[in-house]
Amino acid sequence: MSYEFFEAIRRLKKEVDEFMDYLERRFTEEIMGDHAVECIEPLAEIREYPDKYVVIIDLPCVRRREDINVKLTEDTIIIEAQMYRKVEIYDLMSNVKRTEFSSYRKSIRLPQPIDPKKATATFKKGMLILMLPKKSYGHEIRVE
Amino acid sequence: MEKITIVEEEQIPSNAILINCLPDVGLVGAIASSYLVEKLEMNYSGYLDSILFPPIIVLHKERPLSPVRIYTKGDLVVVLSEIPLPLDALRHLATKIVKWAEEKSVKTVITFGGIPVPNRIDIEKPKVYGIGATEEDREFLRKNNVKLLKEGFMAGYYALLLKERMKKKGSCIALLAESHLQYPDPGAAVSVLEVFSKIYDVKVDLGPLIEQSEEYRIKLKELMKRTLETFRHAQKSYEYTPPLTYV
Repeated sequence: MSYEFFEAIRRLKKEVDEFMDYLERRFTEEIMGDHAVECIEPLAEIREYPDKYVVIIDLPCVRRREDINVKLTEDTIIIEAQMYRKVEIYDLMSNVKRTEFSSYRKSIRLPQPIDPKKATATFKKGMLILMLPKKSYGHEIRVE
Repeated sequence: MEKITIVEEEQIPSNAILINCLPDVGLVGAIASSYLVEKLEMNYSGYLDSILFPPIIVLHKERPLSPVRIYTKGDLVVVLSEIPLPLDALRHLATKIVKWAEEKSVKTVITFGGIPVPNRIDIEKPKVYGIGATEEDREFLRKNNVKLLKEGFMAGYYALLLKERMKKKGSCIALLAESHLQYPDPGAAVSVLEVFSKIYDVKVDLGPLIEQSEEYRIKLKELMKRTLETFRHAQKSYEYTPPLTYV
C-alpha cells in the first residue's frame, strides 16, 4: 500500500516535471524562436467559415514565393519560409545579447479536417494566405 | 486615493498638445508615438506609476525606466506605454491623464490608432479618419479634410480617454488609420503621422519608418501577441459591430 502510494507520487512528480519542461520549451521557443537554426515563429491568424479556413501568416522580409514551403495534411499545416536577409532581435533572456533570425517556421493544428488537394496559397505584401476547404461541413436537408 | 501617479522629472509645458498612445489595434499608436519621440528627439521628462501596472521596468541605454513615460519638446508632450496595460488600469489612467491635462491647460489631447479592416492587405494607402470630442474639434478636422467617422463603436483605452475628455468638455481628437487588427501595421502608422504632421505643422521625416517597416513588423510581433491577449477583455470585437442606430 505504502509502495503504491509513493509510486503514484513519483509518477505525478514526473508528469509535473515533464509538463513544466514542455511549458518552458514552448515559452522560450515562442518568444525567442529556435536559435540553433535562426528560426522564428511568425504571427498567424485563422478565420473560420462554414466551408473553409482562411489562414493568414505574416512573413515580413520574405520576398519570393519560392522561399516559402507549405506542407498540409488533413489537420496540420507546417509553414517554413526564408527571409531575404538576417534580422537582428534583442535576446529577451539575456537582455544584452542580440540574436539574428533568417527564417520562419510555424505549425498549426486545425480543429476540423481539410481537403489538402483543394487548398490554395497566395503571397501578397509579405503575407501568406491559405484557403483551406473543409473536408465536409455537414449535410444539407430539405425543409418541409 | 488615486491609483496612478504622474512623476514629472522635467518641466512639462503648459498649453501644450498632448499625444497619448498605448499598444492597440495593429500597434498603430504605439509605433507612431514612439517614432515621433525618436525622430523629433524629444526629451524624457517623467513617468507614470501605479499599483495596477504590471511589475515591469524597461532598460534603455543601461537606464531602468518605467514602461509608461512622458516626453516633451516645445509645445508637444507625448505620453506613451511600451506595454499593454491591464483593463483595470485603463479607466484610472484615462481619468488621471484627463485631470493632468486640465491642470496643465493642455490645448488638445490627441490619440493615434487603427481601425481594423478585414481587407487591409488590399489597401495600398490606409485612409485616416478622425473623431472629435467637441464640435470645435470636428470642425477643425473637417477644415483639414480629415474624414470624420460617422457611425460605429470604439472600444478600449481610446474610448475611455475620449469619454473622460468629453465629460470635461475638453478638446480631444483621435486619428485612426485603416489597419490590420492582429499584425503590427507600420504602414497605418505612416498614414496617421502624415495627417498629424500636416494638420499640426509638425515636420517629421517618415522615410525611415517606410523603409524599415518589415523590421518593425518582426520586432514588434511579441508586443502584438501580448496586446491581442488584452483585447478579449477590452471588448475590442465591438469595433466590428454596427451600432443599434445604424440598423
